[in-house]
Amino acid sequence: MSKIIAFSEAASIAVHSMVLIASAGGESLNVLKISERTGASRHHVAKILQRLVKDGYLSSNRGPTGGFMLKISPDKLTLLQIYEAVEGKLEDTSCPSNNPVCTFQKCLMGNIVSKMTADFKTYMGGQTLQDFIN
Amino acid sequence: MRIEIPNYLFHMADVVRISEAASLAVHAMALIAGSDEMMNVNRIAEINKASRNHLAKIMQILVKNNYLDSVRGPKGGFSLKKDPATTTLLEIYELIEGTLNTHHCGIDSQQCPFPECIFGNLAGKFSTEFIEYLKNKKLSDLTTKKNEKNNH
Repeated sequence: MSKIIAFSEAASIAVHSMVLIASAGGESLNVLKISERTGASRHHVAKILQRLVKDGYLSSNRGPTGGFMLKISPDKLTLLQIYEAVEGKLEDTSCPSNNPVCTFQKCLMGNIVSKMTADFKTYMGGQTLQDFIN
Repeated sequence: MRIEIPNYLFHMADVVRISEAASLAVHAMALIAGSDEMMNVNRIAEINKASRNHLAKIMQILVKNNYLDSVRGPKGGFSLKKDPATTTLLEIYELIEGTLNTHHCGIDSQQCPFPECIFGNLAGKFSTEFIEYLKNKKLSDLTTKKNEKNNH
């Protein structure tokens, strides 16, 4: 079975981890706990969270009761910001094959890719971490 | 071994990953369908700015599966074997990539432990949309051959 849509694992780890951390309230979550909940490898999770600390979204405390906590209020942090912190700026891709020049007059893929990228961006930009905290 | 690329070198973060091979197959078929003259591998590769070897493999698949006839020689090339009005982009795409998967969450993991999809079920929604688009697009829709009847 072939997949068309592929969210990068890094982006997925970032987004899901942040939701977990945001939902933990006062409790700080560590790499082990997050890796268990998300099913991602500890190594991978550690790297992503390190990046998010570096970008100022998380603070980290070392030690036995250590872990990560949100540094920004959950209602002020959108999924898009998290996604782009890990993946770089989401550009308005027009050509799905990343071809610099298209010799066809109309895109054979019907600009569906542009539309999806735009829809994705709109969705992610419209969701804050707060939306996922019950 | 993964090579770490710093973020600033990413040109774009692609959400939708369209297989290059499948895209090439679709573009090659559209070219052939819309052309009066016979085009060979070199010409098609040139127009699509693709590697000749890569394209040749794809053309082989299309010929083998009876979508194209191939004529050898200096004036040779490819011609459509099936009616472009009934050939969908989906069948060309799936010829190269296999059956497209609609129900998946966009990540390579087994079970999701979250009560609701953080990505808003967009992977499934987009996959379905894309497949629908490919299913409804005929090869003849992509060409403007004058001697073809336009059926709307």
